[in-house]
Amino acid sequence: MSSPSARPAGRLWDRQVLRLRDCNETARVLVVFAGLAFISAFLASLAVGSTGISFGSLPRAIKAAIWETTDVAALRDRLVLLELRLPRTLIGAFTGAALAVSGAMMQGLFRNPLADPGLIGVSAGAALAAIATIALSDGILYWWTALLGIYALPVSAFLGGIVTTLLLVAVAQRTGQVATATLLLAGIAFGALAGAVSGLIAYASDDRELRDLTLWSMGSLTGSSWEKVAAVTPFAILLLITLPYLVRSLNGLLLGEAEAFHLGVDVRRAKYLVVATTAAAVGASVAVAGVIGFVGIVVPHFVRIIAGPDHAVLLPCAALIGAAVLLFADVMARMIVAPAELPIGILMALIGAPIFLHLVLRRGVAN
Amino acid sequence: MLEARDVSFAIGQNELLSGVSLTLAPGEFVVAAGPNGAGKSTLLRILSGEQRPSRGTVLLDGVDLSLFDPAALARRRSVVPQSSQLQFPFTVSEVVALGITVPGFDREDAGSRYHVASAMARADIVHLGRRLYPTLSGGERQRVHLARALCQLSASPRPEGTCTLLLDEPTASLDLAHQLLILEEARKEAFRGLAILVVLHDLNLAARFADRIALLSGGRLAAFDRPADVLQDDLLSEVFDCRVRAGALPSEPLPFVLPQACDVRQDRGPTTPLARSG
Repeated sequence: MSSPSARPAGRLWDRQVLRLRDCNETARVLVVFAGLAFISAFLASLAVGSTGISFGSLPRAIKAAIWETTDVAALRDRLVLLELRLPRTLIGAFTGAALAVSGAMMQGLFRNPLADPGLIGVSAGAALAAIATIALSDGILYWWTALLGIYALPVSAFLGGIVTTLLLVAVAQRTGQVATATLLLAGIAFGALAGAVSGLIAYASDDRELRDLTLWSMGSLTGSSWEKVAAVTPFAILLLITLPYLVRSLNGLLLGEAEAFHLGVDVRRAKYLVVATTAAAVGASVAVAGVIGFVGIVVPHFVRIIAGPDHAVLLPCAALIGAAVLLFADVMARMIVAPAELPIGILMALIGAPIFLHLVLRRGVAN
Repeated sequence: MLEARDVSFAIGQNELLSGVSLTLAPGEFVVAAGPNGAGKSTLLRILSGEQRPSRGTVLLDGVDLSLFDPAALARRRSVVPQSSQLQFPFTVSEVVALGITVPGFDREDAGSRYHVASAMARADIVHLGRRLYPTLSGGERQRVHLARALCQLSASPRPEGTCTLLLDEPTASLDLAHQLLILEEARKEAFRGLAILVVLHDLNLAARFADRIALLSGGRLAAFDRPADVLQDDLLSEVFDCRVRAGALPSEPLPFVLPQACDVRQDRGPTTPLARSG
């Protein structure tokens, strides 16, 4: 996003995607704000931690990472930066962006501003599949982990997510129209069920596994490594590639499925693409960071209030702000109880739940 | 030429449409009329390609409608739906601009903005441009959807062949002036060579605008002819199950229709209890 390829990417975005407002100044301001927030969060996440490379020594650490050096302090900084902070920051940025974009896309698909992968059980489904993979990796699923290596976990989580989403689509559309209440209630039921089965697996696990699994269900960036970065990279690339092609379909779908079809949207294909993309993004993020809620609902809503629901603005802004929010939350999680860490999922719920409640109440007044 | 050949549509045991055959020629303005549940909207959905008939075929210039992909179809027909809910705060001009997002449309900024602006002017919603769609009244929403459809038509590169505009009860919640406005815009599109189908309840508006009226009754096509031939006392009384009189204005040879009385209920005697106070 801040890479040198930003310009050609921007041009591709313009060709594929037409902004609906002709001079949307607020959207432009928001894009700049989102970019700045993302960059500062990224830097903060590199600089803050229990063994502090302070903001002041960040340039030295970066320099040491690029050029050879014999300075011991610089070497230590370099180790912390490259082996701990950078992978963690990349994972955090991906997770935040993936969750926020998935939330925005699900809300468009279900035409419901309250849809969220965490809330409607998709994250729980992905987590269940991941937990089952860990717990059974020595047993009946040995071939699965042997076959896929580091991708076993994200692929399992992806499959868990996609099964849950397809079940939700089936339930919600049983009567033809998407029934909002049915969708949310069914999603909550799926989430509870998946959580319970995950609990059963945890109950049957030994102590070491148990700790892993608990951390998982609370969401955490602890233990981020280059291996995990490698595991989510294909999913991040997939997300980036499909995003521009979904803008038009999602905008049309906001009007309704019939209206989207009248506008030339291949509704069936768009639905499957959205389902697959969100499941892949949520699955990969759950596989590396566990279940983190509320990013997917609060961030898109914030963007819509400022710049409107046009997905040409919403999706990129949600990605940047989602990444920024998650990184800032992770920085706080590392600082509050330093040198220990809070699970970031707990922190996000502490911040996100009141905002979510506020949204629900506001909607109640509006209706 | 858009042609329905012996089209039937059933949901489960319910046959909503049975054996309907009709044609929409380029430049023709056809009104579909009939009592509630006669299959008017179903017919429109089938002609738009949104639903496939359970029996029979729909042909666009001789090619089965189901062979067109959604984008190719969207370049050749637009639809003004009956009503549509929107949970998200799009502005009016954004909803209209959705009409230019069809794949294959000219997306050069100046051109596309022109299509949006002129479509909004034609539907008389320029003053609503910055309003949020969910805050509009029913009639204003209908005009927004008309503008979106007009925008889609004017931005389309218009491939060879028949283009169509389908409107589902576009006058339902409009005042008199806007009822005329919306139908006159549809009429203009017919002059430009589009085939128009409008579902209407108001038979006098139908008489005023239609080249032909498709009168539907119980899922069947009761009549498909010029207004003067369809708007006959006997036929209307039978189809609508009440006594109506059709006449003609002395000044111009346009038929008009006056509902007289609800025959069926009169035969059965008064259905409302008279001794209410007792």
